Parts: sequence; C-alpha cells; structure tokens
Amino acid sequence: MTGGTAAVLERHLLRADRQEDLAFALWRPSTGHARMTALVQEPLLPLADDRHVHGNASYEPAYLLRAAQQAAAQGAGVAFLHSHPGGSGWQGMSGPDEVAEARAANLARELTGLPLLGLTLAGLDRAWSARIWDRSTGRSVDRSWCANVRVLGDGLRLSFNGTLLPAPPVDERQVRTAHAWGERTQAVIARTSVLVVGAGSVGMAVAETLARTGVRRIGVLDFDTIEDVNLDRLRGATRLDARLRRSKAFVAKRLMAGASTVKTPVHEVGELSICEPEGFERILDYDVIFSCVDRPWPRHVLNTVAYADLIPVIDGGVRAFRNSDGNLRNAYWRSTVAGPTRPCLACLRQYDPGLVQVERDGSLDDPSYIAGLPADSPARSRENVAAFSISVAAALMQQFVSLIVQPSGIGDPGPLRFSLRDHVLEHEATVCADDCAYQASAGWGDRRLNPSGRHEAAEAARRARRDVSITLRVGRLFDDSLQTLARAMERSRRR
Amino acid sequence: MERFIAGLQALGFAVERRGALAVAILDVGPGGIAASQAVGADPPDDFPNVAPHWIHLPGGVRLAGDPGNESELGDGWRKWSRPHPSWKGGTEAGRAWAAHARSLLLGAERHDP
Repeated sequence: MTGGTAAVLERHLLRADRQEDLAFALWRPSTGHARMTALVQEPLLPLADDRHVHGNASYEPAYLLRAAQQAAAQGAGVAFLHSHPGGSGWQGMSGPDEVAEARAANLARELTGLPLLGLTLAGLDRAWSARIWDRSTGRSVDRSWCANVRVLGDGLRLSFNGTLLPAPPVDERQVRTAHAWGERTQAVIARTSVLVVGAGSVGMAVAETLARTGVRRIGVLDFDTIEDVNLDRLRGATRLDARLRRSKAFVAKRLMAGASTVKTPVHEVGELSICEPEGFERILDYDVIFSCVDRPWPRHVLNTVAYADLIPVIDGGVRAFRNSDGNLRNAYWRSTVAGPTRPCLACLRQYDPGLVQVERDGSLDDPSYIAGLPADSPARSRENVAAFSISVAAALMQQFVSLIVQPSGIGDPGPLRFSLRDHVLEHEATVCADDCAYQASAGWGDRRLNPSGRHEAAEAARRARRDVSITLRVGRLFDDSLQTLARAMERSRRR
Repeated sequence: MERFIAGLQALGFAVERRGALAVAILDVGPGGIAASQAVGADPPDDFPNVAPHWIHLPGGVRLAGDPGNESELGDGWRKWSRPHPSWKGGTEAGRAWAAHARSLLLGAERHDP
C-alpha cells in the first residue's frame, strides 16, 4: 500500500485508549510470474454504528456488506484490517480473529469474486502482517499467509513473515556491513527481493553490490549478448565471454555467485526483455527494481509498474556532452526513485514517451532510421564510460540505501543530478503534470494499460546465441566445466 | 485503439478503424492543403500513455522533408516517421495528437504520383 493509505489506516486503528479497532478497505491484484500482490487502497473507515470497540472490536454485518458492494462495483476485493495495539513484528491470529475473518471471507468472495485479504497492524512498531483467504472447500474457507507487507511512503517499510521468510543470521562476511546499520536492518535488506533490469555497465555493478551487501534474492533480466565493445566497462565480462557469445544474464549470474555473502543465495537470471509479456510478468515478483536501461520502451514499462503496481523503481542514467573540438564539455548523472508521491520518469524526462512506439516497431534498431535522427537525440548517444557507469551505480545504490534503511528516519531524497564539470549535486524540483497518467494509475495493478508486447530484438539476440557453430558450443561446454570445477574447489577451500 | 478513437470522436472528428490502424478526418484550417484531410495513425494498446509513431497520408499528399515509406493502408498511402515531440499522455492526449497531425499537415504538399 502507499504511505498515504497506511497513514489513514494507522491513524484510525491505533487508538489513544489502546483498544483494538477495525476497518475495511479495497484491494486489487497485481499478478506476476510466481507472486500475487494485493494492493490495498481506499480505506472505508467505519461510521458510528458500523463497529463496536470493547477491548477488541467487532463489526456489524451491514458494514461488511457495504464494503463488499463498493468493492464489487469497482472490480476490487475486500481487505479487513484490525490492530493489536500491544504487538510488535509479524502477528499471528487469535481464535476470535480467525472467526471474524472467516465469517467475512465467504460474503466478500461471493460478492467480489476475489478472496478476502486480512491484515493486522502491530501498535508498537507499526508492522503489518497479512493473509489471504483463498483456500476453500464448499463453505469452508482457509487462509494462506503472505510473505511480506510493503508500505511505500517516504521510504519502503517492509514487514516479513518470519516463518516463510526467516531472518538469516549475519554471516561473518557481512559483519562490517551490518555494523553500519545493525542486524535488524540487515535482516530487512537480506529479505528484500530486488530485480536488476539491464546487465550493462551500471546493472552489472549494481547486481554485484547487492550480492555483496547480503541481498539474498536478486533477479537480473537482460536479453543482450556480450561483445568486445562492452569490455571497456562491463564488470565480470571477459574476452572469452565475448568470443563464446555469452549472454549478459549468464555473466551476471556468475558475477553474483562469486560476490554473494549469504549462505543460500537465490539468483534468478533471465535472457528476457521486460518489454516481452514473460519478462513483464517477472518484474512483478520483486519488492524493489533497479532500472539500468537506457531505451524508452523498458523505461516506460518500469514507469508503469512503479505506479500501477506500487513497486519502487530506482532509475538513473548518464549524459555526456562534447565541445566542437571533440573534448568532454560536461557529463551529468541522475538518480531517482519512481513511485507514488514522487515524480515519474516521463515527467522527469528520463525518457521520451514519443519514442516508445518508435522502439516497439523496431525503428530504433534500424541504423538508417537512427542516422536520420537529430544529432542531439538521446537515441543517438553512444557515450558509455566505466568511470561514469560506476558513479551512476553508486548513485542508484545510495537511493536504495535511503529507501530501505532510511537513515535518521529520512527516506529516498527525490531526483538528484550530479554535474561532473562543477562537482555539484543538485536536487531536481520536477513535479508531475496535473493529469500525469502514471500518477493517476497508482494501485491499478492488473487493470493497468498493458505496456508489453513482442520484442523482435530480444528474439533475434536469443536466436543468434542459440544458432552458433559446433565449435562455440564445445567451447561453452568446456568453459562451463572449468567454472564448475573452480566453484567446487572454492567450496572445498571454505570448508 | 478504442481509447484513441473515442478521444478523437469526443473532439468531433470522424474516425474509423482499419485493421491495426485508425484513419481520422482532420480539418486542416486556412493555409493548409485542403479543408479536411484523411490521416492514418498506429495507436498502441496503451494509448494514451504512449503516442502513435507514424503519420499515414493518402496518395497525392506528402509531408515535407523526406519521401516517407510504404504504408500498411495500401492504395498509394505512404507513412512518415513523425513521433510527437513532447508527449504527455493524460486526458488531453487525443487533442495533443490531433494538434501534432494538423501542424504537420500545414507543411504538407500536393504531389502528383
């Protein structure tokens, strides 16, 4: 849910007299490849006679009926929320809690077609816990516990189900990191699932840094192939990778495996574009997304989910400008977090929405089309310098730390721009247009306008890697065997 | 497609669907090549978040600058790559596309094939 929705609910549920209270709200599904997220919104706070507070709280059937009818009219589900004022952390359910939710579950499902979502707010640390009543046999209903609850306000506030996602112990390799922000915060970082979109010079550095920081579940999506021209800046890539036409996703997985400081890392890489339907589904499976792409279509896809699916997207990029004599005039790198209450990537001009359809129809991969674009078009920019990429990666990681760790209670700083010539870091004051379509779509989930489609460049890249000579295939097998052996030796050395 | 068509119809323009494309009759105004002109577009599924790319025109009319490409509308139609220069989407997207197309038509020329 957004920080605004959470604030309304928390003000109502956490009473001055420290009694429990309850409320209903609406929720909408956001369905990924392996995860469904319930996006909680539109609190329907009780009127005077809708509920009774007596230490704990109970509701009148008419209140539930009104909530279910309103949800049905909007194509949403019903969320039933209550508080445990003296609780902290992820909350279990008492017998009366179970009875109250089970009693509401059938009516909510029958009227809305969606299962009831139950949430509990712990009063001592404002941790939310949740379950969904999605298992039924006839009139008998049962719940499935959610893995986490995310509140995207000034920062990202996460609470975790300790049974499904137990806090991993701090490994001896993470001691210095955990020393910076404490083991409790390290446990949050470790359990936050993070996707890196684009394994270029920025994405590869981000993926490696996340692995070293102790993030357990990291995804990387990139359809592209390593080439010699990437080797001046692509961390982890070798000349042999280029010769063997390895995918960037393959190299990212190898890099993360070598860098990870957790005992059981989960590294999910895919040779997909997020613009393809299958890639698009996968981005909905993560808590935080790094946008390490520079094309308009994938940025548009990420801008869409940042608002419609409430997944914070950390985006950045670099632009370099030359003088007429060819020397560097200045370079800027930017970083920001996109999501509700923050300016969107389109309004920040991080991409040109007019060029999204141009990329979709393949024109941006057509050299003759590119040649016809104005000289200052971002689509023609070719600069890419390792020293700049690492600065962008650092700026993105700083946004990530502010978003999750929230030093001194302060979340991500908003859009930032660094000027290399002056060595000045500026806060950008951009706000979205009043009728910004992305802001208006906040919390739509599966009702969003579908930004994905067929991506011929991704298909061609995968085909080219697959249809290689027998010599290259044997080379890859030999290289795979050597790497397997090296990993086995490293494991043996550690033992 | 439906949102694109509805957006232009709400402004009073006649629009019809032709396969994956839409053809609208836009009034060009004084100084243009004609009082009204048929213009084709390729509205994406996520219009108005994303703008159409190509401007399709029937035989006999050309945009300035380049000869254009063959159009999927056939029958002498040609298309020109003219992405909107400052697309913002939102509730005024239909009006923004129509204004873009009409501004291009003001610089269009008659051409005998």
